[in-house]
Amino acid sequence: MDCQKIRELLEAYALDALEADEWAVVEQHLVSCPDCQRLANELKDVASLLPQALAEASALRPPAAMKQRLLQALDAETPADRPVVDNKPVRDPQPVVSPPSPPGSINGKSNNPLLGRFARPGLWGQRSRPVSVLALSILLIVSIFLGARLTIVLAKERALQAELASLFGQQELVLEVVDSDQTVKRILLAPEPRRSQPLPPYGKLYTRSDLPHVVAMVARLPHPPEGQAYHLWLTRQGRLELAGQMEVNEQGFSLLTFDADSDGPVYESAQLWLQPPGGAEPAGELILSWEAAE
Amino acid sequence: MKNDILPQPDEPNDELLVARVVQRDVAAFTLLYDRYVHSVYAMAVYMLGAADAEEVVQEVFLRLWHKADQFEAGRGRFKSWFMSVVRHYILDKLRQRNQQQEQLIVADDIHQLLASVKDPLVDIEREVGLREDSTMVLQALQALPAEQRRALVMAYFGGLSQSSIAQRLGWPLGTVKKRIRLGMQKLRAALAPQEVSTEVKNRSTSE
Repeated sequence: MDCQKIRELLEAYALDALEADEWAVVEQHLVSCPDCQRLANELKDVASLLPQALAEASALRPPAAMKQRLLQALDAETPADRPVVDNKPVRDPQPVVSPPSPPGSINGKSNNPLLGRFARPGLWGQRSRPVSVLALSILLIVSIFLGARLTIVLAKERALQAELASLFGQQELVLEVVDSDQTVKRILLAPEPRRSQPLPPYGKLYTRSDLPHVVAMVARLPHPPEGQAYHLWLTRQGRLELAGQMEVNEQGFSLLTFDADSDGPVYESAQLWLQPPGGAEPAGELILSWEAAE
Repeated sequence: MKNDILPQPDEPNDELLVARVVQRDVAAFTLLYDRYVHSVYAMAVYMLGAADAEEVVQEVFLRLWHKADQFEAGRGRFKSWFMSVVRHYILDKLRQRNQQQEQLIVADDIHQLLASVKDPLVDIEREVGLREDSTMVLQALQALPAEQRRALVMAYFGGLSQSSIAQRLGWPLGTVKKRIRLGMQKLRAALAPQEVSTEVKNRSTSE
């Protein structure tokens, strides 16, 4: 069949509304016709937006706890990722220690019914007492291990969510700077050896080549000690300037926006220092930095 | 951007995330979850009812976790692939339950909802999860003549073929075909600029 005839069917094909025989004809044609295939993909992309429109139109909100339950189920039923629950030693070379768990975290899951659902049948069955004790201890260790992993994942995610939420909480200016094809982004990193630790702090500096607005973000920072604050110092045309203090929220995130004195400011370096307020130059502890390549 | 070495680039595209899910990256998986859970949940509630919705959400995302490697990047976008998997899963359940009667009711409910919303609800969470093109597609859907919108909804959410739609609604088959073609073409045209800007964005972040 020629392309013209096929194209008359592609809208219904993308919606999966063709009869079986029509569908087979279209599929056969698409294998050998990249142009029609491209058009079919485009129409499928359009169709795939319909559920989003439904979500947008409805006031339904997925329950927040649903996600935690999913992650727990996922951890519990992924054998490849899971330390083996068996009489053999746990294979994972990582030291198994109980991590400090923040209040409200989801550690201590040994009573969790979801874990129970995916537990191997017979694990609690006809075993002798010492074996049961061993199995119990191993299960406990495994649940601590899983809890730790999950806590890390959720913490990573909370940081990201907080970052996005703060972003969208600000005026449109932030989006205008961050989300454009004129955006220039710089990444501020912690100095070694902190950089190689798990979840090190980081920062971003956004400018636009056609606007004076500047947006800086930092994440995963602890609250500063009494009498100290995070200061963002920028260098532009060899001149050092204090962009401002950055107050971190509970998630360790902070956002700073300001305007440079001209469009498209170009910075040579950006540094975040922990120092007492009121200093005329960087002092104290260097937390994050970025420097332009030569 | 060349110095983008952080584990969490601003907004990695779906295809990058799913590649990381194949490598067992739970954080990438949770990002995909956040992007799609609203859509999956709304579909599940509207098509199967609130009582079964969570189980459906769990099941399709667990499938994504286990079968992410079945997505072939060269054959289209992740969104199309995943929403198609979800839709088929939900429709199969719906068909097991009853005959086409229920599919018709479902499609009617959804059609009424889409027709009645004047101001899309937008809040922070939605902005994060659905920002890209959902408002555009909702507006475009609402701008369609009611019959065209109804034909699209019957096909997509009701899982009905063109001839079934014709039979159920008492429309001539040719009319159904015309409405589906026109409706889809208008949606595509309304979304085109948005899609292009998304492409540009994806390209610039992957450089």
